[in-house]
Amino acid sequence: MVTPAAGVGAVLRRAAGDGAVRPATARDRVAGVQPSWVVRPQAVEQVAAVVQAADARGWSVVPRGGGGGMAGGAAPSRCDLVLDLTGLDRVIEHVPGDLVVAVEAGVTLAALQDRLGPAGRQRLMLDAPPPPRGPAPTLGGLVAAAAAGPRRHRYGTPRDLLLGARFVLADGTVARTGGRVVKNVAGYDLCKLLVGSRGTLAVVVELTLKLHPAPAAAAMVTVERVAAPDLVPLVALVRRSPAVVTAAEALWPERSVLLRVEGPPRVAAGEAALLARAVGGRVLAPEAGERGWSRCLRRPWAGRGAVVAVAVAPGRVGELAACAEALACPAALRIGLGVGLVRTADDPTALDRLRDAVEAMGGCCDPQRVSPIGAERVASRPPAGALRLMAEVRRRFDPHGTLAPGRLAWGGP
Amino acid sequence: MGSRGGAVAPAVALPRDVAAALAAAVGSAWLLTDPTALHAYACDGLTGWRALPRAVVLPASTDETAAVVTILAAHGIPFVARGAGTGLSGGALPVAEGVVIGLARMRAILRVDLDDERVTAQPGVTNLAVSEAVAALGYRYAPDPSSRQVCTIGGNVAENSGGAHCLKLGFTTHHVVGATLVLADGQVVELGGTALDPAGYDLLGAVVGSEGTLGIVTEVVLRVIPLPPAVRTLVAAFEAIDAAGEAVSAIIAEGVTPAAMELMDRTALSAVEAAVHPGYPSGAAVLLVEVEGPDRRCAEEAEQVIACCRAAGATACRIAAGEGEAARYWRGRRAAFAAMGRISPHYYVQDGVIPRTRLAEVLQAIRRLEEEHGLRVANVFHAGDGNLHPLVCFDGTRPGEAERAEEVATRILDACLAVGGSLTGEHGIGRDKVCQVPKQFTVADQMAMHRLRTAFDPAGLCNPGKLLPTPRLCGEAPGIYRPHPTELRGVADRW
Repeated sequence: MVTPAAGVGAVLRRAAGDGAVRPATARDRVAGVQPSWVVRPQAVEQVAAVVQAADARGWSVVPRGGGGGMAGGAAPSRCDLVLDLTGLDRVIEHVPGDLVVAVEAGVTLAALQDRLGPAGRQRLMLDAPPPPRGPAPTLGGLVAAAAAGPRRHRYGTPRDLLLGARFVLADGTVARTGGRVVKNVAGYDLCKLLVGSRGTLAVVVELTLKLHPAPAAAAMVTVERVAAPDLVPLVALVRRSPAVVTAAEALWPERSVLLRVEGPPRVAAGEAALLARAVGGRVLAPEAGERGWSRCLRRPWAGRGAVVAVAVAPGRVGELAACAEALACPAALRIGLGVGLVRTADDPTALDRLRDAVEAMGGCCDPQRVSPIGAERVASRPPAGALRLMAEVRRRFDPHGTLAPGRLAWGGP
Repeated sequence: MGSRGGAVAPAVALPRDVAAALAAAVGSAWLLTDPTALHAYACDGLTGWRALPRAVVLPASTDETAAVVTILAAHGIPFVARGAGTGLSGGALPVAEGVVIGLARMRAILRVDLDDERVTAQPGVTNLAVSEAVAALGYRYAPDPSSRQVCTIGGNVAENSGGAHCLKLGFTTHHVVGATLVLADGQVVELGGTALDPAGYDLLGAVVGSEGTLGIVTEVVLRVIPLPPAVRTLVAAFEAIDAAGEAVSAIIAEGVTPAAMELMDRTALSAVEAAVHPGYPSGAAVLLVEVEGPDRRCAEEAEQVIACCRAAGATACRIAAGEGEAARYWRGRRAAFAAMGRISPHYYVQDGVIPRTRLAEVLQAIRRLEEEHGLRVANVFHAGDGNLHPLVCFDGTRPGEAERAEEVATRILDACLAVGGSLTGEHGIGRDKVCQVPKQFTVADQMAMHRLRTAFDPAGLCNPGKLLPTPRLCGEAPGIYRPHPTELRGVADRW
């Protein structure tokens, strides 16, 4: 660790400007590790200068967006500076006719949606994952964590929405990948690599994102008292039903399934009625529907304990529900996709049990809100061959291990 | 490295021990070294570039592919994987000092599991065969390149293939969830699988669209989706192509996302009408739109599309009365490239992307180029996602005309890039556009891509000369191997 000596501060201030540098406090800890400095640049060039200066001197840099993910996850092996990206908060360009927006990484999801709301009836189709009272998540942070909510069922994850990115490599190089068009196969798609890489390959500073027309209305259908083995047959009915379903969540232990239909008001209402009939459920009245939807969004973040993302083959989602039930873990399962969030006690025994059960189904666990020790415990590892290749990719992008070293719970370098 | 035109370099024979080892790995019947046999592999769909490989090897499994690559890597012999060879950018162009690894024998569909919505296939399976394998069960594989009857899944993965319906449903990258990859040193790695969200970096996402430069995919897990409950296919005719472009913008602004929106101009239409008689309403441009989904939503969207077309000045709008009529309309679009032979002895297929709001100005630029160079350009495009396919018509028997056509095609791409577009929307960089990469990507951008490539293939054996320019291919200008200024600054920096 770097001692917070005046010389270091001077280097950082030269790189990012006087007002951008401060000594770190206990609140800036990353998974329990105390950094020495926090730098909050206002421009891409300053980010590049800071990262380059750090890389040249062997200081490690942990990028930070809203900060919601900083308390948990694997502890960094070194953490000299926190690079706070919330100063990069400009919406660069929104072209409604192209359904594309370019933003700096520090723009929050909420700020972007506000900005899009009145102008063009468009939305970034990414549900903000709570914690409800936590800091507002930034788009850079959501991309780094590959975060998505229930509407992933229809709209995918940041992987499906990120068209292009500008990023700073550990050596200070500023580069772009992808573009500002929705269809593009020129060059490698480094966007895919950056999504979910948790700041370990590059510092993402600008994002170009694909938007969708904002649906005019939504209707919620619920199916109650669903037994775990009935989930897969239920999904089959949903898939065959004449409705455009944008979210399909099973909430456990309530054993209730909530389905969301979006579209023009009459269309959504009509399809919801058909869907309810097809799956043996009922359409919720608007207020009850809104309550149900907000329950989907909050669950299982509300409440204490570790939150773990799980993924299995979609056909095994019934087994996944049964497993959550057996372990007495509250869960929200995206039943059409075989993924979900499970909450469990943040202790080694409970986390081991969850990981073992999910891996026995051929699935994977990825810690979302877990203590540093628990995170490494619960995280599934890639197969050996793939892991070696990942280590090599990391080495090529960040040869000195400057960016967020140790932050990958899955055993990344 | 391959050459333009018909000249084919003579093959340099493989060292005898290498040939023997390859024959032992795949069986001697599947090692081709006879020059006559090799000629069939000298080019892909971009026939202007040709090179004769030293041999063609046809493995039948992942293990055989790994064995072949291990042998080649041990001898430092470069290799190029090949599917059906329908690519249009020279991605499967052989390396003259290398070997082609053909995947045509690996054409089994290994598993269909609809509870998982997955099909596991070998790379030589055709795109259409995947859809056909699940059609009776009410499912389809969404990406539908026009060559889907013959192009293979392995090639689709390499090129991140699109197709007319990717406007709503996404590209190959959105439908591949797992792959077995033979690396350039012969190691086999599993990336992803049946479940989503595998642990670790999304290397699979980087491999899709990597044009065969990161390894050879020998098994793929694909996502299949239910067939739509209803489909409406519409055609609208316009007196001017700009008006059709306005209709496209209006449809998007209306909040409708059709499954497909295809636009053809007068020149393309005359060829298509002569070739396959699709029976489009007559006009200077025809917009073909398909909406799909639940029946009532579909009907409503079709009405919105028609209203947008009429407001933009459509002279005729038709909804296909049945599957037969819809199929006829699609046949016209799918036959567009092949039909150009009716009106021009030769043509150059271009593939560029623009933000769809810039359509009018790019079309104007194309018209100016037509006039300046005295050549006709037929326009066929995936209008919904701004992917243009201008077809530059020329007569190769007239001296200089082929060069002028290429010049026009290149300048069309420049016009795409000038409005913030891309060099390619679905055909890939390949060999064709490798020297134009610096027009879209800075040296720093290329260096970042190069880092990925060297992580997978440090020896540079896997489809070399494609995707990223090198001084050897393109002269000094692109220069991606030169150290970046920040590297030079690394020691004596400013602080």
